[in-house]
Amino acid sequence: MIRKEFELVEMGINAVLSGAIIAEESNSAAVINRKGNLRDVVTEADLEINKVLREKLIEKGWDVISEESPLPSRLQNNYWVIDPIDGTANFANGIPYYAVSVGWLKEGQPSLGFVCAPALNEFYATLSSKTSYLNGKAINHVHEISQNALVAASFAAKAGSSQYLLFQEVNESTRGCLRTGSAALNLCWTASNRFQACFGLGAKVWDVAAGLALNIAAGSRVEIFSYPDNVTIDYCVGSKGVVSDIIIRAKSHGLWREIS
Amino acid sequence: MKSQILIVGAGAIGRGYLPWIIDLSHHDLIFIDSNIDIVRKLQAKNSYMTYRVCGEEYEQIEVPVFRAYLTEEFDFKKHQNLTACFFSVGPRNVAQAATCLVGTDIPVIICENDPESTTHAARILGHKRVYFAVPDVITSNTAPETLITLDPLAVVTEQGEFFLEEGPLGLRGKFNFVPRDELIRVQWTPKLYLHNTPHSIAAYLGALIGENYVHEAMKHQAISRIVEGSMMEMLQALKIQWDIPHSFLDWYANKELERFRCELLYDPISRVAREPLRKLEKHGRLLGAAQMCLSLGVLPQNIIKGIMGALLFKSEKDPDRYLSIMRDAMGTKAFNRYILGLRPDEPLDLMLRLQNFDVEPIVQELLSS
Repeated sequence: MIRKEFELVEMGINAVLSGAIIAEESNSAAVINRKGNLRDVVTEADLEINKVLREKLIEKGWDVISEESPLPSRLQNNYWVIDPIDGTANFANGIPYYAVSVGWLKEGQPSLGFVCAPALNEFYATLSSKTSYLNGKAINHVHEISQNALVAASFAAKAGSSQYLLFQEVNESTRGCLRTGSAALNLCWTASNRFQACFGLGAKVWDVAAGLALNIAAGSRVEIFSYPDNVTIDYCVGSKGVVSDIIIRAKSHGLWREIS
Repeated sequence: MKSQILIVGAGAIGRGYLPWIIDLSHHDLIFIDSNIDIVRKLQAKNSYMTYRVCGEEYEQIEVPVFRAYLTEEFDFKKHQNLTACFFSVGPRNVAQAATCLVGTDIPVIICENDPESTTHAARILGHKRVYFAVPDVITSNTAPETLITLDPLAVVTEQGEFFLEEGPLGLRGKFNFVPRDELIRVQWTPKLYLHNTPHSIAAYLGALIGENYVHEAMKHQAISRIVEGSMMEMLQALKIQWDIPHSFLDWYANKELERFRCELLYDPISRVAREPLRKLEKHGRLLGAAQMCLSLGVLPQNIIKGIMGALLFKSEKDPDRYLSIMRDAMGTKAFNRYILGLRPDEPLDLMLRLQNFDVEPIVQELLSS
């Protein structure tokens, strides 16, 4: 591993674990704010983790974009993307499906990813753009067919009815489609073969940057459509055949855009 | 007409030890390996030498090679007279190795240090003719320079015993067939804790001070003392925990210490210490051994030093070389929890956190003698 990449890995691991400690030790899971609708909540822990992680990464001279901070007016080519707590609604309700997520984007592409789910004792990391690990063990996505697939979906805060139709179709054409409440964990569990695919429409880059990097390194098929605002993303990730089937269904509902 | 035996994994056990116990007058050997260098040499020479320690000397046999293949080159349909297949590829590689035999139902004998690997192999092979074996032997995957000069494929083994789960196998050779339960209880358990535990500790401590072979490490008084100490800790725990005759355990422990000191074996530290993360598995030879001691009131002071050796092991060529990157980036507490799987603040976690991945005190202790 080249020195620079090692330093990035060290930074990412250090940041995500710092965030996980705060989340775990926080007595501040109470919702302190809503960001526009009933589902989009923020806790004190989100804000505290956001502050600590931003300081750690900005101190090293990098740009950081985050769910809980305003976007910088200009970005470097390479930058960190953090979600202090992905799955805040779960966290606030005492459900252990939440994670701290730290991703590294190189030339706009997810390159390194670090996700820690402290309540599940799970720590995911890419040690390079070619290797993903769960708790120190290498993970490689095993490609399955739709009939054998368990799939997970994540919805944007404002999801249209066609997204629910897609959810229903995927649920009925596979072993099931789950909503876990954490896009980051959906992606981690796809990389590590618990899910065979996951998708999200109108997701935000901080929810998924780290998980996408983990899947790229784990050999999953990764299909992404980035919106012009550079923070909104449609993604479908996992086994080749399952991803194809989901995209065909999404297109039939006018939900999947092709890069022109 | 001879029948054929497949040996998947032409390393220490496969190339060095199995030819001593398989009756070569009844069976031809077909080798399968993923190492192209070894396979091409086996194909080119059609034979190689394996040496066995006999007192102060070596005895030798020239092993005829019927065929040799890279894993991806092997097609079982070209061999109609197969009797059995031995796997000696390392527990992590069993699943991959098994794929080359899908579609056959020849018995498969798993010579790995992990009874679970028989289950993995059976699932991939789609039949239950998969048997667990315990080769109670140390076999080097190399040989001293003088022997390597004569034959680059030469390996050195000791006498050893081969214990094999009973089953309908058409094998001829020196095999000790035992029921599976007895194999696990009387052979595998002592091997795991009285052989693998102190053997790996000798290797990891030797690596810390730059030695290349286990017998060289054992010449250091401090290492020898720690290895013997870990053996005593395990012996004490096994006597409390297991219904195995104490005289057998004492004999086993003494035999092992002699093995580690054998100067003719040339047992490379890089071989014994490889894949430290596998050796640090929660229920394995290091953490599992320490946990067993702690649960029985035996303080694993020496085993802890071995665990530290494993945690500090660095080798650029090792598949687990990223261990040191994670260790340094995560710090002791998070590493123990997420990578080693220890519960925060459990006794073993606390004991390891006291050491704080600090290499200096251990190296000083090892070199002080």
